Amino acid sequence: MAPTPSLVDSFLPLKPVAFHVLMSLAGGERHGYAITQEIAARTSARMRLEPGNLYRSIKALLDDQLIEEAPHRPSRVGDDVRRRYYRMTGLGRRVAAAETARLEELLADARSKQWLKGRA
Amino acid sequence: MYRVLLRAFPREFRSAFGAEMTSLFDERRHDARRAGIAAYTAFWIRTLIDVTQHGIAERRAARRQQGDPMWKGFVQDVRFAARLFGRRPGFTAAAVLTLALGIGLNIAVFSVLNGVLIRWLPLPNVDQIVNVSETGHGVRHQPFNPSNFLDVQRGTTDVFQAIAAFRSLPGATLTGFGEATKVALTAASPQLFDVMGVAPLLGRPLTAADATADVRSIVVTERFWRAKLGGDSQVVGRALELDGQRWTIVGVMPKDTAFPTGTEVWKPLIFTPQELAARNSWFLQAVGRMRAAVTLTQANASLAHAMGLVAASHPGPETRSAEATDLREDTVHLVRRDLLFAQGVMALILLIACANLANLLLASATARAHEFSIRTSIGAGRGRLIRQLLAESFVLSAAGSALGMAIAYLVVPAIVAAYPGALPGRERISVSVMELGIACAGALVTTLLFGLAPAIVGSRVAPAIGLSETSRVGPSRVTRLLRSGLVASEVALTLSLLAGAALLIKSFTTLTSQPVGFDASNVLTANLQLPTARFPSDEQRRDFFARLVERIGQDADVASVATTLPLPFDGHGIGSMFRWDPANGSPKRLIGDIRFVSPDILDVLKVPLARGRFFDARDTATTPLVAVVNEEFARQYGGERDVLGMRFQRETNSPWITIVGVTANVRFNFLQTPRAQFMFPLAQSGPGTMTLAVRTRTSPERFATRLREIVRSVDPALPLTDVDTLTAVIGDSVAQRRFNMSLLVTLASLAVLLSAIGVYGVMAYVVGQRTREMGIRLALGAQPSQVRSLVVRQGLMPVIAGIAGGLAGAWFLATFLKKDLFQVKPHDPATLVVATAAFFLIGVLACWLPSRRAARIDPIRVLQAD
Repeated sequence: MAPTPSLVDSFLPLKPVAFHVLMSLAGGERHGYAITQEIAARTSARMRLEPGNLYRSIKALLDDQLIEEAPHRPSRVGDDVRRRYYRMTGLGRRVAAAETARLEELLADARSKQWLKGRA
Repeated sequence: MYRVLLRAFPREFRSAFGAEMTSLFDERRHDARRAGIAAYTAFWIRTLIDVTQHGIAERRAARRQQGDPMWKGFVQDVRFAARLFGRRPGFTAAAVLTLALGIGLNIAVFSVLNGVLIRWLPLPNVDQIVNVSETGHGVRHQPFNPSNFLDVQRGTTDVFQAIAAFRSLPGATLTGFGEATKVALTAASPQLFDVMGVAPLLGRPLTAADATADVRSIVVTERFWRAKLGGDSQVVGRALELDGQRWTIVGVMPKDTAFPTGTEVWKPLIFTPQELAARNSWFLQAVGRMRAAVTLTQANASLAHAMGLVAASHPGPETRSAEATDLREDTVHLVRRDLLFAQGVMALILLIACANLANLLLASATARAHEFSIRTSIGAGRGRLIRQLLAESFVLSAAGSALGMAIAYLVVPAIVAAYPGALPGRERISVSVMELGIACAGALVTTLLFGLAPAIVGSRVAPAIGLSETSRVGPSRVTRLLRSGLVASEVALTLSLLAGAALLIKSFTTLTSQPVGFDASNVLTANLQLPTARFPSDEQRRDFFARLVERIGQDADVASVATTLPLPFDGHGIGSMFRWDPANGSPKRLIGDIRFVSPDILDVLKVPLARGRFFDARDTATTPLVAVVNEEFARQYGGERDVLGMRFQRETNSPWITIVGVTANVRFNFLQTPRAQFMFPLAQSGPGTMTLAVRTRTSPERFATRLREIVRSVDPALPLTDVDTLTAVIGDSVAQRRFNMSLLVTLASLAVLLSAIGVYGVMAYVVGQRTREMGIRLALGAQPSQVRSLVVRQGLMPVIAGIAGGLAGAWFLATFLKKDLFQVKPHDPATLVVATAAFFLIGVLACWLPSRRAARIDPIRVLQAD
């Protein structure tokens, strides 16, 4: 059954760390280290997630069923067995999309009030 | 180690994610190790903060879900501890203050370390920015030649996104804003702003179009904009007067982007045709931003190739190359050692404070054996008692950390102001959220450090014995061993610091007691720079200085006045090379330091003239060139012959210079023995910057205002800078060493005080516990002196053990201090003996005072109390 708009909206606003983790998984399955690397590269090292911070967020996203553990792993050669791979669920995709829309609306609102004058 | 830290998280969380978190931690630690010691330190600090912050948060979240009774128990323990300490204000105040000092000083030094080493220049991808320099004669980090730089800039676009040259100018005089002031000016190629990689706060950066002489655009730093221009948002387009010329502000750069450090204003770097034509003058610094994924090795290969092409097309007398080096490393390596040493010493002070507190808490726990026995007998487990004692320690730590933050907030500006050298990133040093996190982590760590052992040992009670009102059993063997161990540890740490401080004192005294060769008393000095725009010729500069000297000499308070460049001990030496007249015999080349002076300099500094004459009215711009040398020159180049009358020249075919006098040697700094020196008369040269040296009849400090007035009356647009007595200038030359010595002496004194209090406190407590035993001894015929010596002997055992450990610590510390010592061996036996003897006497005193109390016990009263 498709999630209702009220169910998706109940997750908003997303915490920034949760949103970044979801954005990181939008590109496919990743393990914890890959998630932190991707976020650091995307934010020019402005956001560096430590393990405690990251995995609390992953736990919350798992509990909310916005992400799940990926059933398949890549080949064992060169892979650390302690790693687990995560991917977004369908609900997670919809919530990420809803959060993106909410942020876009907020940005447009701010621009219309000329608070961001002079910036591209 | 990380698996231990993970215990901050609840068990269920650890089972679910512990392995993954450990895997992530291992990967991150590997990355941090490769990035260098600063990154590795930052990594561990972030890990501690992350574990503390998120472990507690996860536990709270879990408890909120489950309604955990343990949390309620902890809150109860904290409330109980607060009430307990409220009833003992003296003990609590002493404990909290001790911790606050230890934690606060650590946070303060860390703030400085953070701003200088860790929170490096806040530019995007700053690790891609490198220093670029020439190498030649096997010497690295040499300035660039302009044409070489332009060739390298064109030839390395494969590895550099942008590469820029700049030169820090001596400072322009800003007028039009109240009194004329000096401004730190950097001439830079427009690519510098691409290297920095940040957009201006206002306006635009410099561009290639600004690099023409008639445009005169400047960009200012955010600090300059706020301080001198009032933070005016309409400042773009406004004009300033620098060195008598109008410049237009085109941009303001954001906060903390002043590069190089200390810059206030950037102006375009413009080369003259002569500068571009000459390949044998080097005066530019350069920085580059490497392209993404380019390594230092690749950048160096490209630079070597580019300079190889330059060498092929413009062969010179030597092979030169170019090199890229890590910018952060080049900038901070001078202060890193001092800062890390200071942090290490502060950590030792905190350990000593924790050892003191641990002993106090141990004594307190032992005294509460009866209370613990009751609680154990009605069902409290040992874990519960340990938890309560740890909660009490935590309350002290939390209060100490909070007060420590306040101390750090006050101390940090004092440290920054007192630090004598250049502190790169000074403007980024502050007590911020990171330091708050450190304080919280510090509270937890100190709780464990001084609270855990006493909690474990003090909670060991046998209810049957503890409950008895007539219990005669004293502290257990474990308690006594722990107590002695703590005393020995703090003695060992203190002696190490004391020995280090003694070595630095001896070294500093040896250094500064060397004779300087002149009389620095009653001499006031000041620097004056003549802008080339207003004084373009040597003759105009000479005339100005001559007029100024004459005007100053007319003042009644002035005994004599002269100009000199450089001034002894002001840190600026000018080395040069000359060609000896072949008629003088070998050697062909003369190497030494040069000075430009006016005739009265020997009178001002009271330097004896050994032979010949000094400069006088005979020496003008049109008469044959003359020089005066020092005795070291005469010894080195004259040997048995008298150098008077001998000639030399700057290079072949330049005018001959005749030696007319020899002066006594004058020292230019404490670290170097006097070198060969050439003095030239001001009348036959024309430097634009000189130092005035004025010998006053009264106090030189009082003459400073009068001197400024005189200079202003001659030319109001010229500011005097660095006005100071010569004695202070000499003192400033060793300011760094004095700072290091003073810091270690202060901290060693603090450590001695803490240790002495610790030893005294333990002995006073032990005497109190053994009152009955001492009373019985006295009743059975022991003399008071025997009781005293028994107490002192037993008290000194851990002190002596600590001294043995301290000597080993002192050995290690002295090896670290080797670079700071002048003519003093790191393991100087006399210094170690003095430090050891001094501390031993303090230990004897700390044991002797309580022993007097023991000897005065009234045995009858003790026996009646039974």
